[in-house]
Amino acid sequence: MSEKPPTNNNLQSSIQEREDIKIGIDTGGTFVDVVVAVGADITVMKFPSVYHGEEGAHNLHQAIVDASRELGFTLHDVDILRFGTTLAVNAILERKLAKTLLLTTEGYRDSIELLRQWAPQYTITGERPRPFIPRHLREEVSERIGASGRVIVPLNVEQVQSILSQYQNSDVESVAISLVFSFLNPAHEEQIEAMVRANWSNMEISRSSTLAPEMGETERTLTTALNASLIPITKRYLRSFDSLKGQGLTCPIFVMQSNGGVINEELAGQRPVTTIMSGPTAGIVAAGFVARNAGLPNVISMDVGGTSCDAALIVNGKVPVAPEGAVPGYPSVSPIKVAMSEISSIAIGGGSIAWVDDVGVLHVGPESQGSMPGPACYGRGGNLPTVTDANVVLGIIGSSRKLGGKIKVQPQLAWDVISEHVAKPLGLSVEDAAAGIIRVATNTIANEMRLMSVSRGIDPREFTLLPFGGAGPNLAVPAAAELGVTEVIIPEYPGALSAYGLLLADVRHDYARTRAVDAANANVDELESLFLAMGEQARLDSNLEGIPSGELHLSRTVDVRYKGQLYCLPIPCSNHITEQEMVRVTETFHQEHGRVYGYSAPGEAVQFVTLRLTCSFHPSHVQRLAEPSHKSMQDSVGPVESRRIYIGMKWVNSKVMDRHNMRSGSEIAGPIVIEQMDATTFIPPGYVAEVDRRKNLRIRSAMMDR
Amino acid sequence: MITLSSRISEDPILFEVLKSGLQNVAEEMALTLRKTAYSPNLRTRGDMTSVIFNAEPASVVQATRYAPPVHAGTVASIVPRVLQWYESRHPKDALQPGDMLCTNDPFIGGTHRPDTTLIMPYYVSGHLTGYVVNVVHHTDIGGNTRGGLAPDARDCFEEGLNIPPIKLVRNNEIDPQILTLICGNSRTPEDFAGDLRAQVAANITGARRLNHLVERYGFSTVTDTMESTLEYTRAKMCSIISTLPNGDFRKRMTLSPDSCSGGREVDLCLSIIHRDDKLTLDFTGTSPQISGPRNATLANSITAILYVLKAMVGPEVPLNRGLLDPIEVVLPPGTVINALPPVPTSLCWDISASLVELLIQVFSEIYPERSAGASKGVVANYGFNGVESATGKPFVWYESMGGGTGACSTHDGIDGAQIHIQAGSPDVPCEEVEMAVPVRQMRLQFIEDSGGAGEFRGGLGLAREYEFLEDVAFSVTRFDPLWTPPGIRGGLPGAPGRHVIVGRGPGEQEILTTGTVLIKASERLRIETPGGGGYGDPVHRALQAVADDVRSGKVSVEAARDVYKVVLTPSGELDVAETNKLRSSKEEVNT
Repeated sequence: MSEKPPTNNNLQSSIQEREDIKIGIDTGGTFVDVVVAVGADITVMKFPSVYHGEEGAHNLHQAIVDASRELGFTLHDVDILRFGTTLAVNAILERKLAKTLLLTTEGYRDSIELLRQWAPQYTITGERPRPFIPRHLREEVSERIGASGRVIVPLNVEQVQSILSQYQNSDVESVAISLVFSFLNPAHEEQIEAMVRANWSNMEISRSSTLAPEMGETERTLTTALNASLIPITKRYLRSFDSLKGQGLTCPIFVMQSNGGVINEELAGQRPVTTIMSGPTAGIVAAGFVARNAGLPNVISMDVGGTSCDAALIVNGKVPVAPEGAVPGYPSVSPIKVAMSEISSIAIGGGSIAWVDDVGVLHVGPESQGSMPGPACYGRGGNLPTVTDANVVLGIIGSSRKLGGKIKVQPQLAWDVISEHVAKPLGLSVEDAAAGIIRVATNTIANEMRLMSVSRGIDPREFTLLPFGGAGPNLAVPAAAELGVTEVIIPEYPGALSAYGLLLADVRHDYARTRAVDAANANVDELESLFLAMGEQARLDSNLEGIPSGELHLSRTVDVRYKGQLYCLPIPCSNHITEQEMVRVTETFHQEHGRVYGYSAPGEAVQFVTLRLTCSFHPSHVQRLAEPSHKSMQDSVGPVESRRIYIGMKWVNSKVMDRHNMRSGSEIAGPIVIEQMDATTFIPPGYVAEVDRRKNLRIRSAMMDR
Repeated sequence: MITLSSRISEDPILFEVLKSGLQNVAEEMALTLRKTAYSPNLRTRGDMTSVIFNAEPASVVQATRYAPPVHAGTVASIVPRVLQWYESRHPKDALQPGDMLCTNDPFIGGTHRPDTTLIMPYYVSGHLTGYVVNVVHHTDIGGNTRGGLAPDARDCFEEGLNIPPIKLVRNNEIDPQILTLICGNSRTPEDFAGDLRAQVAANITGARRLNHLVERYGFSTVTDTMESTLEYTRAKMCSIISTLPNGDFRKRMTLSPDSCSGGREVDLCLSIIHRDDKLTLDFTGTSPQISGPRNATLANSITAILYVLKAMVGPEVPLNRGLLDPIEVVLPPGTVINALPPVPTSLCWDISASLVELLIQVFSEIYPERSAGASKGVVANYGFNGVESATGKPFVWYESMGGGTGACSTHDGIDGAQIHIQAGSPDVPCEEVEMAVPVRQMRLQFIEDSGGAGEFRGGLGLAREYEFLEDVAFSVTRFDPLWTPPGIRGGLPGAPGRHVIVGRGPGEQEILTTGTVLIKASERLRIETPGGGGYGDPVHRALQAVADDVRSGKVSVEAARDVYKVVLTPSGELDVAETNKLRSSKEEVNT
């Protein structure tokens, strides 16, 4: 922590008034970002990430303790602590899952390895990602439930017992139970769970009929297997917070989930599978918040870190959440049944490697130097040219201030690697090579964003681009130009937006039950009782989180399709199902099908497939964060320096300003570099920018202005 | 480094930007088509592709991300022939802006009748600049079998309505009279019309997006980039050719007789002839076309070739005609790989899948960077239908299955996967199947010891078992009992596939051949797909890898001992001393 946040004085006075402290923490490969809110006042801090994997919790603990010392509060003053984590996703990508036993129906132990028979395309030497649980730990039991939910083959209890005895003294840490058609009849799964509990008093157990009671044996088993193999890791991680509790921390701890809401630590330990997209999701929650408060309903968020650009379409102020999503590194044809914000990951980040192929064509990515060793200019041993190195050569990223207050940039190292690996092979000057790297990188981002928009039936040109993450603001304007987007909005703390998003998120849980019944002769009472059962589960979960039932917001949807189709449309329905309501849902489905797919078939049989309930709680402190800050605006001071940057094939002098010295309301024209502790923004010639009253930087094409 | 023309080296950055811009247009066409399609099969499985051609016309970019590889070459070969055919017959009704030609004729560049192509010329200020094209597998186009895959068809006229190249779209509007005629021949007219409209929308999207590129970068920059994109792919292909050894490399694959082949053996022959920078793929010697519908058309064979070449050059190289430019291809007309009318072609993809394996086998010998054992080599599709006795309602189901894939120099093959031209076609969950039709899937599992042994093991074949709850008519194209996917560099072949009715016939198992058979309720059918070929000598396989395979039930203790020469203790641990003894005695035999 080398740079004093400019709002320290305000914050410290608020602290002295004994307002509660709210903390959001996001961990990345390079930095731990901490956002501390007292009332409407926000302080952002960055600390280096030192530990990795399960040890990564120490980064969080140290950051919290350091922040409390820096800002002068005690852990006892903290009333909200929320964090985003890459623990689960890293455990998946690095194959550090807990040793887990799967018990499944005879004939089906290979479904989680088959992944619906997927293989990569256009390759002779392709591989499939390894299964979460190796085959020798996937045991089959004789039993079968049929498509009507009736028992076809009774459970062979002796066989189950003999399997369990076999593993009695093994080092298995967790058990996953997933049987065919258990979403219709959980009896056999319940029996097995009871036997596992009798066998081991403290075994971790995940069972598909409670975790993901939806149709599709592959997806349900994948979800259950992944959850089971994440539980021991996640619980150890969460238990390590006890050290903070020993230092006075008393508030509950919440973890960000993939669905855009947070979950408390105890439930997160039971359902860690809901947290695999924890990291990227928090930023998008904040992006939606910033956009709504800025009066921009439609934005494309662009979160650029070291290895990737995570993009999302925010439509009418909402981040779309899908009922299922792919596990990173696994094919989308075999998703897990977990509600996930719709985020597209593009393989371009600050650490993406630029390379020239054997016929002299420049490519950027998909390989990345990540955060270790990182770009060459970090001087940590990186010896390949990256996107960040290109921005250093161009003068956009300067060397006078440390990145994130921590990393000293060494421009010569960037010049050297780009010269050797890009400029010389292409016969270009080093600066032209660097400009080329940025152009190819931003073009890739724009192309992917266009496809993402088209796949949702949206014209991206009607959207505003909202970049964040360490490398977002310096790539945003060229990416917007490629995409045909005319406005860019950069929030006040783009480098710590994910940590900020943690403070803004609702507490949220999603529940589902598949029945797949014909709408025409569905049993109203059965559907209503399924919804009520989910509501009861929601109340139990929320009580455990300390949220009164009366403050919960419940919303129901039904996944509907024409019989014979393999895909559904979600149709919202009222909180009490009646015959009339079923007719209305069916009619809405026909209309919605017409709207989405261009036709409807009112004569065809309609099927209600899956019932879904979302339960959310909107914390009251969020409203205060939406108010324009009370922080006193310091007088605007002029450019802190002037720097030569390379743009439009020539070197020009550009102003360099400090973001926190910019006053709202006055317009400035590019070229200008705007620096702040957590990011660097570049405004090319032909663009104008101003700071709005919520301290967002709004950048527009000057041409469009006229 | 290979030197390219000045166009690319003058501004390599602009080239990369515009090349990926063009690629993006092809992907956007595919996405548009899938989003606006009517039939669920097209939307979820995406049996289609979209391509941009230059004015010549040569294919320049093709969707590879949102379109599966099954149509890798169907469009590439079709456009020049269709245009020529059309122009020679309708010189007075030349193509105008907004016009589109439609055809499904297997013998004028097509494959089988359901695959229907729509070609739209692309004009900039009155100059013909290229073509935007897409092809879609339609649900039904008539013929003697629903869906058009008819193992017992005797000629192409039993396979549904033929659409020779006709101007179906004028000024961006589908001719309503022709549409009526076509839909009047389909069992699913709404599907056909809806999917055809999606095809029109995709071409219009392609032309509109090309206009954006022209407006932004200028006409000549865009057309130049089309040429350099072809040149780039060509250069990548030439760079591979330059590493190949000179010589003649031959291979023959023999498919054993069945009802489709009129009781004859079918030979597929390939000679790869390399003389310095000249490469020839000569299929002379391949058997004449057969009476049944397994004949492949020219487009099917070009698909197999383009698929393998694209896999060789790598993911960053656009799929286009540049792959074929440096290569002479000889596909003798009137053979099973370039059929002439009037033979049926509805099961044409089987031969394409075999050709892919033949090509990979020969290239693996001479291009070790991308070498692998063989895979299942057939489409492996089947279907069944019947009537629910309680309700009298008919039901029908179609499916195809994956098998083991070939091992390569760095890792094992994939166990049970849809590979090569079938990659990207997901299996339907058993819970969906059982809720839709009266059948029970008892298992879907890897088959022990079915993968070809090797230093790297071939992928395992898959076993699926059905128990039928009603009587069904079961139609199948059989697995060739003699096809054991070969391994390479000492790797052993994978096991063959088969369809068995369990508990019926001699030895309590009746093996099915191509055709339709009645299976009674409560009878059980077992389908076993082939395993992949291994890579390298099995005795060089890492000991721990063998022990792991045994522990996970992928390889038996016996095979570990007899084939891999690895001895395990009764508890499954490696017996290193016994193994060394066994392996060293094997070495002695070898030397």
